Amino acid sequence: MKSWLTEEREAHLLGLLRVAFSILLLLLTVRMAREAWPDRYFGDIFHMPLLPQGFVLGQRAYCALLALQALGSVLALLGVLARPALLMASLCGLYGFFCDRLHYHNNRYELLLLTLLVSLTPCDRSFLLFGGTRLGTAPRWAARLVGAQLVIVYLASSLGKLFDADWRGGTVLLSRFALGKPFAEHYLGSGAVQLLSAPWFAQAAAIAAISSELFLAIGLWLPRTRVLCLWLGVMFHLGIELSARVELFSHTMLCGYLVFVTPELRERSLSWNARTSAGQMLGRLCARLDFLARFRHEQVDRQATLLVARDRAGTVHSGLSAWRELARATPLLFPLWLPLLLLTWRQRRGSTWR
Amino acid sequence: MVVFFGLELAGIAWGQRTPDHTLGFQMFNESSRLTIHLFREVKRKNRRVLVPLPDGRWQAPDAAGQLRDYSWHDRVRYFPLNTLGVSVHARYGLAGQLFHLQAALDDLMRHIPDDTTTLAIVADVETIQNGVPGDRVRLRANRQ
Repeated sequence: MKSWLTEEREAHLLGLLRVAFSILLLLLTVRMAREAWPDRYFGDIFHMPLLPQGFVLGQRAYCALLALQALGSVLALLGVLARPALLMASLCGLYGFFCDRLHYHNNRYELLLLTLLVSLTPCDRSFLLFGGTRLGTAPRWAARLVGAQLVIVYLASSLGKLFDADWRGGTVLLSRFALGKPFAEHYLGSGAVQLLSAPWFAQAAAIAAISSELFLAIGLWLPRTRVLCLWLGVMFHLGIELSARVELFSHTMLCGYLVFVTPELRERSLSWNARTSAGQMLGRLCARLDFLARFRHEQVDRQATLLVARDRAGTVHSGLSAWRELARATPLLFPLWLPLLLLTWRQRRGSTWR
Repeated sequence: MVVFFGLELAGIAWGQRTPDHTLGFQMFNESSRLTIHLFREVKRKNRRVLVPLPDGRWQAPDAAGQLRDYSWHDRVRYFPLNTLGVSVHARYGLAGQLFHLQAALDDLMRHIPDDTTTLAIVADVETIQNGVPGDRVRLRANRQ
């Protein structure tokens, strides 16, 4: 615990975390403004405040609050007074949020809490529009709290489902699957419809969903399971995004995963065969996709294969294993990591998932 | 930070007990539906009768005898409560929406002081909880 409080690590990626959450909060602010504009301000119609009624803002004050929230998000995005601006924006959001429980959405509450915690991290040292990047280490404890906040959501959600007989028995999902039957019938055929109608399938899906959330809550903290958890989490949230309308929930959680990325930069390397045009083109493309700065990128003339990757431990990989290492550390290619891992399972015996 | 997480965890614990699970992080907690049928209760020939409000609108005289227009939707814009006579998804669960509906009925009654004939607003709610048809629930808000 003491080491968590005093630990200092590279802070560059926390700037990216700030940018991501500033954008998400700005999007939320725009949505809230559209909900209140021009004559739908919640205070003038039926609403249910969590605060005492006397604390509920009038329309003008609420508009001013939203304006402050937007201003804070933009300043944080640009990197101008980034941390106080982000803190102000999140506090404005939380205040407005507590004025009407009818507008309560888990995804919005989670975004506001995470944004507040991000503002406590040293996230103002990189990704700045004005002023230079300050490389170096900084305290890590607030980033840990962002991770803890993600875990709280997974735990609360999974335990709620686990203790609900309808949920763990598959009844809730069976009703939900029924909504997808017309789509399945049209695009996937009768076999898919039968599957969606089967109680055993709904129960299996329920158990899988609860297990996934519990696994994410615990496994993200363990170095040996972290990358597998991140992959599972990406798939889990992509699945939710495709199958349900959850506003910014998936984006919020996926951006939050940045705190589980190893903070140190460019500890791996990729070397591309510079004699082929494919090597030159893919090298440039992968360098652009590497916005987490995981790799040192090299173009080499004397190389037998298109790609050679060197992992953090210094182990050299070629062939499919090199592509696996590329997918592992490149966000947009990350979904390919597990399939490539399974394809190259025999080659990577003896190494760890760390 | 202890205060932050303490408050949040207290909010989660409170959210488990509230009907609408506010602050509780209970995602996709039910696949339930509800259909709201709205009525106003008035007195006719010394008997209380229910007058259906399929579109949520009605007219009633004020104290001066002047007919005035009223509408459920003037006060209630919140989905799913703003949808009458149609089966809709009960987001955050059936109990949560019935809790909100009761509050909406009470709110409406507080905001029609000029309506001299409406004694109560009544909602008859058809429910389907996780795919299983449930009881028909009647909620009402009386004139104070």
